[in-house]
Amino acid sequence: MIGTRTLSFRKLLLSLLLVLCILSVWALIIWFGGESPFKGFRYIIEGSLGNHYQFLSTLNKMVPLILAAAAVAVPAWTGMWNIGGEGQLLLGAFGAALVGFSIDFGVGLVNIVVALIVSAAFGMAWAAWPAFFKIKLRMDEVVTTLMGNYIAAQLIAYLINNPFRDPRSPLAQTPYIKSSFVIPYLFEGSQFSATFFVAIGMVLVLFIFRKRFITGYEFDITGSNPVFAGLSGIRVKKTKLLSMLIGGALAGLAGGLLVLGMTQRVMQSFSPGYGFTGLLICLLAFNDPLLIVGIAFLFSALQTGSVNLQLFTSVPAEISGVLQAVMVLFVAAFKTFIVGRREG
Amino acid sequence: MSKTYPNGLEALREVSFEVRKGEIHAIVGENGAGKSTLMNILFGLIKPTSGEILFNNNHFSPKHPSEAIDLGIGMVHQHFKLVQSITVAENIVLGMENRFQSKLRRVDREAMNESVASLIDRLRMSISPDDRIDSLPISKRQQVEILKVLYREADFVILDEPTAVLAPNEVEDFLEFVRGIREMGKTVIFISHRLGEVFSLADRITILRRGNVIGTFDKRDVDRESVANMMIGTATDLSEDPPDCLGNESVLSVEGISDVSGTIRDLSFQLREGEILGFAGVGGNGQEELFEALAGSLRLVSGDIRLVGSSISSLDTLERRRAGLALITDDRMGKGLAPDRSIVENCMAGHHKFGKFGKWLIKDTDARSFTESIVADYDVRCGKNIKTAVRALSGGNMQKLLVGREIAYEPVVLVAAQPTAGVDVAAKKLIHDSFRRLVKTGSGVILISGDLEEIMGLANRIIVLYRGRAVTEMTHPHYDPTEISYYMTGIRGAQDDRYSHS
Repeated sequence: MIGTRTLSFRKLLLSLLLVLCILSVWALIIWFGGESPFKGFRYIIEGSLGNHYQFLSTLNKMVPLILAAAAVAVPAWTGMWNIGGEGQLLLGAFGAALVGFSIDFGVGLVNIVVALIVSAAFGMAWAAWPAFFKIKLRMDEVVTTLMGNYIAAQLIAYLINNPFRDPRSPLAQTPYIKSSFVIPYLFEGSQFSATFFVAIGMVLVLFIFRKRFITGYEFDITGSNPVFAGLSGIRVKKTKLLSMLIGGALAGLAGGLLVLGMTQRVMQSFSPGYGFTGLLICLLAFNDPLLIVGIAFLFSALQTGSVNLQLFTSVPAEISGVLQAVMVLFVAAFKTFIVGRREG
Repeated sequence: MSKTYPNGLEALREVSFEVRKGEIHAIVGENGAGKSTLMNILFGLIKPTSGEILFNNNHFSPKHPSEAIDLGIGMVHQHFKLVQSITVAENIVLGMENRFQSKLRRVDREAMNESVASLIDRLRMSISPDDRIDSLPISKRQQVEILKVLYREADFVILDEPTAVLAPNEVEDFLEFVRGIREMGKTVIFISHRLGEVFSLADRITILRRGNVIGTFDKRDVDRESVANMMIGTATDLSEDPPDCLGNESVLSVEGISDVSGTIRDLSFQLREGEILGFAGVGGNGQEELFEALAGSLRLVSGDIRLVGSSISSLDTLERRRAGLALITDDRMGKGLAPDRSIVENCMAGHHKFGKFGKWLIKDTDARSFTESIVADYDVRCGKNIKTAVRALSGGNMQKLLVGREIAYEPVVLVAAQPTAGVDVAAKKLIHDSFRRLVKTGSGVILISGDLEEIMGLANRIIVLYRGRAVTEMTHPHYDPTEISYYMTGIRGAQDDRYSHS
């Protein structure tokens, strides 16, 4: 309510231009793949939005993407880079699974809420140490959060191989969570569940937090000009730390929701890179929570759609990886144009 | 030569002067007099609005520094541009290392070091080409910076306030070094506002004041006092008088503060209620550090700061603001405002910590009415749209917004650094009037300013800063601009400057 209107309009326009550029290069790539771009796009759209199963599947895929993107966005408001969403998400997933297979409070709702809180706390913990190192030792959080991803991946691999491995399973994975922890599917034949509304709810909370709350205002001022923020009496380090913790919690929550709403356990290669896709979505959305939902929808539709593309044409589903890479390049190229150079 | 910046600032007004081959030519002037603009034009960093340069009787209008370098012009900037982790020779040769490359692209370090060593020998310097930059003291790094220029066979060397970074005992060595450059037959432009050094070194002196050349003089024809007069300008307009509402109680007392780097040293003063205390001085003599010390962003090694009797030395900026301090920074774009944010958001900053717009949720109506009152009271012209990004405002309107926001704290002590830098006359008057109103309520104002006229018209008392020390103090109505200019340029009162008494 107190932001600058002209600026966000310009950002929106440039974002649209960026998407347009990406779409045209995509068309070229599909054409090189031996398919007419229009047919290709049609298969992608039909595959993601064609009927209500496919639509629900697209919505369901959005859940981790939205939260992983929000995990980048909130720290970015204060000028912090959280590249560690992937690791925080893994930790969060493990936290939810750990609670799910070892404890039981008797009431399903309590179980779910506790598991989600624990997942957020695990994610938060994984964001806390890079934030701490940044503030105390001035270590670049880009490096520490990024490295944290690999540490987290190895840590989780160890945990699900040794102490928490399901003894009945030939694979490295945790036991299933108890059925009272499971967030049920809402429609037959689809994995769509209430997790979607949790993600949307978080986005709305963040939107309101940023626009209407004193602390959200401090986030924005800190990110916009930290020296000015400090001189105004905002405690810059504390604000940055808080934003990083919220970011970690959101990524952790994404992991928790995946476990409770879909996989019901943590296994090897649990995340196909949600954290990094979230980073891209956040960049595309210029850290804006509402735009994140829109861009996440686009990404999700692309992923479900390219499976359909493979089904009906000679273009392999892996094309979505190429299409994503195209997006990365354009985002990188446009970023300095739109947002300008910024201190990390 | 004239230069008018796009924002209407006239940095240079039909400036003319000439430099003779083989001389050391000093250019003196206060900060903002146009020295940097002039040199940047010479070096091809800025395009002049009108006028021309003749270099060795040829027309010369560099569009890029490389053109200036090709003609043998070298510039040493105030801030070093050296790579810390490599050696002196490597830094000097950097960018020309292909001269020492074999066909296999291997750099012949022996030959490289030798060529640098021969230059060092010619200047009789005590640096080894093998020294790493980060192991050298500041004064030597500066010499490396100059060597870099000389190595490129520059015949015309511009030194931009080279002594600003040097400790007093390093200055003499440095001046000797510059004389050595002249003996090599090179021409040197020496920019400074320390008249002691200028008179010890220069052959001729050009004086700049507010974008005009006051004159070029042979050193033998002028004395320091007259140069100081011409540089600072003593024909000041004293139509304004400081406010007359002095109380007896001290609101701020600073007792012997020094910072880690020694930029401010053993500074003490008292500020009474209803008083405006002016700090005069040429830029870079501790003004910024004094502001930071009061704001709480500079670590002090000694001394104490007390606000109405209680110490605030250990408080952070927020706690100091809560105790009754307000701060107008000298850098409105960099530190005083968030230019990309709206006027409302910029007005709220800081005040939101006082619960004026709610504790958790922002009360939109309160934020708006608060902003609207500042915009109205301080005549901030923003087309009635308080959601405009601050960046879209003119410099004067930004400054009024900043001043309005800080005075809205109703502070016990207002610290104002360069509060009217780069603003028009009307805005200046409005800001001065707001200070006068503030002190009537019993508050005190610390006015740190490079504008002597402003200080003399507004302050009840003036302290002159030179190299981080308070060198003199004068009380209204016993102001003598000539006397002040001597103190500002170190002709009088400097304790540790060996050129203070001739």
